[in-house]
Amino acid sequence: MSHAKTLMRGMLALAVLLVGPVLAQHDHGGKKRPPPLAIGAAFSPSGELWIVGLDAKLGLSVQTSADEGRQWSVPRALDTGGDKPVADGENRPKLAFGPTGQAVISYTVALAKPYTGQIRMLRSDDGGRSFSPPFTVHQDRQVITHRFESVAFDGQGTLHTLWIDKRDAEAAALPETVVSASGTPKDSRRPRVKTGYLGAAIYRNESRDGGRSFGPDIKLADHSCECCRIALAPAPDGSLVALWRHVFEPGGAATQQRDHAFAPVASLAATPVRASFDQWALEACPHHGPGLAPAAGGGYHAVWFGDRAGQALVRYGRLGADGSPIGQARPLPDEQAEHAAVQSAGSQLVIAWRSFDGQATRWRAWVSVDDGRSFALKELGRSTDDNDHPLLVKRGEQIFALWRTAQGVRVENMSR
Amino acid sequence: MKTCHADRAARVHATALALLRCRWRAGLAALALLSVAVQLPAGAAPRQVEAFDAGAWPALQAGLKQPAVVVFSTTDCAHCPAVLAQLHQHIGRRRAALIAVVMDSVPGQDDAALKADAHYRHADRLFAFDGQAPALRHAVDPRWRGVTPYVVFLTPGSPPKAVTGPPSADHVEAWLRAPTRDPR
Repeated sequence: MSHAKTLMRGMLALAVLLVGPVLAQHDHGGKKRPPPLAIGAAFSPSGELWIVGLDAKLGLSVQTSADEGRQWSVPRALDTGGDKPVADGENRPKLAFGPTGQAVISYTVALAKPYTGQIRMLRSDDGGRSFSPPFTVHQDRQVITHRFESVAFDGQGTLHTLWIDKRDAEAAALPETVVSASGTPKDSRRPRVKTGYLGAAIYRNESRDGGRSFGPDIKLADHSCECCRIALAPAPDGSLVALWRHVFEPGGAATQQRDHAFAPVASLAATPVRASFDQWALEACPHHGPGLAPAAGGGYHAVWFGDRAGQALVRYGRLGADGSPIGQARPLPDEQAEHAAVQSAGSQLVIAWRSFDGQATRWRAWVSVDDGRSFALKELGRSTDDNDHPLLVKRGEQIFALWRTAQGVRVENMSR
Repeated sequence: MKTCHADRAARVHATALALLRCRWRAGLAALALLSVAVQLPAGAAPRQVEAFDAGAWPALQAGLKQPAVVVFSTTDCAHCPAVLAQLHQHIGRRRAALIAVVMDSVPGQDDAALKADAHYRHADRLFAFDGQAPALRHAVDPRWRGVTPYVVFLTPGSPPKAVTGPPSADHVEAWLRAPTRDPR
């Protein structure tokens, strides 16, 4: 099947999703707008490609493809019990499949106060044929930030959920006098006192029964950046490791730097290891989280966006097994690259990104077959329409690139 | 616009003072002053969410009659509210507009929530991204990769000046004191 046919069928499938209930689309000044484009994607154990995103009614829907994205099923709306999932940028719905028929879909919903949210989940015991009603993943129920979740099953089938959480920042900022005996704020409208707590925290929990029950909320690290995705990758022993943008203070609070931290997910006493040294002194939100994938030769491949000595670029670097950098990071061969994803399968390594060239957004990839020693640049596509961040998903030893634009979802098998 | 509020406030002030000269109208004067207090928050909440589409940035610059500062923000930008508040405070009663552009919401998606968001209440105009985000950003500054707050200072007749993150007080003062040249 040619790429053109693949694209056309993908576009037709998405057209059904987008154009169906036209009346429900956003209408602002007579202009119809498609739903936010951010999707999650994963292969099921049976080999089907699944995507989850918002439909024209801004509800959560899944679509599946049994032929690597050439044809897609009719969108299946999921019952989220009135939730309004967020699907923008790095805050997007996600899908994960467990080893014995479990499937979970996670998403964030905004709460009544600005800058707050909670992480919700649907779970399935039958491979995604049916899903539970939505539930909140974390035990903390304060109206504060719980967002930018990442979900993955480890090699033992334990479901891990990590998220950005501001309970510690809020607690540090809350004047004692406005805390009630129960520990809840008496008057949330009172201004918070600015404290020295930098950023947010990474929290996590575990479920050993595919999302039926969860352990306690556990803090993985203080002082993460507030609005970037958390990257997860499998470790050689089947556990998971995480990479996130972190606020480092090499010389005290006046010298904060938004670089990256690495830690084993389930380690009880993990001290995050600094994984990048761009030394980006910034009091702002990059909205640009890292990517992480295992390296065949040990350690990990990482991609991230950062400003190093005035050069704001996406860079690729190797990390050791403990997350510390090995050698010099290399800029991607595209100064406009943004929102890069990375995926590996043995010695195959794919880094995909998008970049705007002044006329259109290009979908590009850097492909290596020697574990990152050398790369070839591939042009995957371009679009003048609104578009999502590029994704990479893996099925066995094959890596697939996905890109959703307002015209449809494009899928490329990068292992051919 | 902020200048409109200031002009209106000055007129109401003058009226109130005139009324105070007459004792029997003191009650009315108090009412007028109360109305000033109500009208003078630093900028009333924006009444609408405008589309920041491909034509918005050129139009903003072409139609510039007074200094304006544009804060590009997102609904999850933890650093943006403080910058909006800081700029509002700096501008005070001076002739300059504060414009907020929300990049992760589209017009019509959740306008009521955006307009009700206290963080945008001091903005004279409120926009939301409408279109291909990389293209909209590129039109503002090709080097800008979406970091927020991204603050662009506009002065009629001068090129835009951008700051990533909180601008310094000196930077804001320099912008407010910059002479405005007729762009024609």
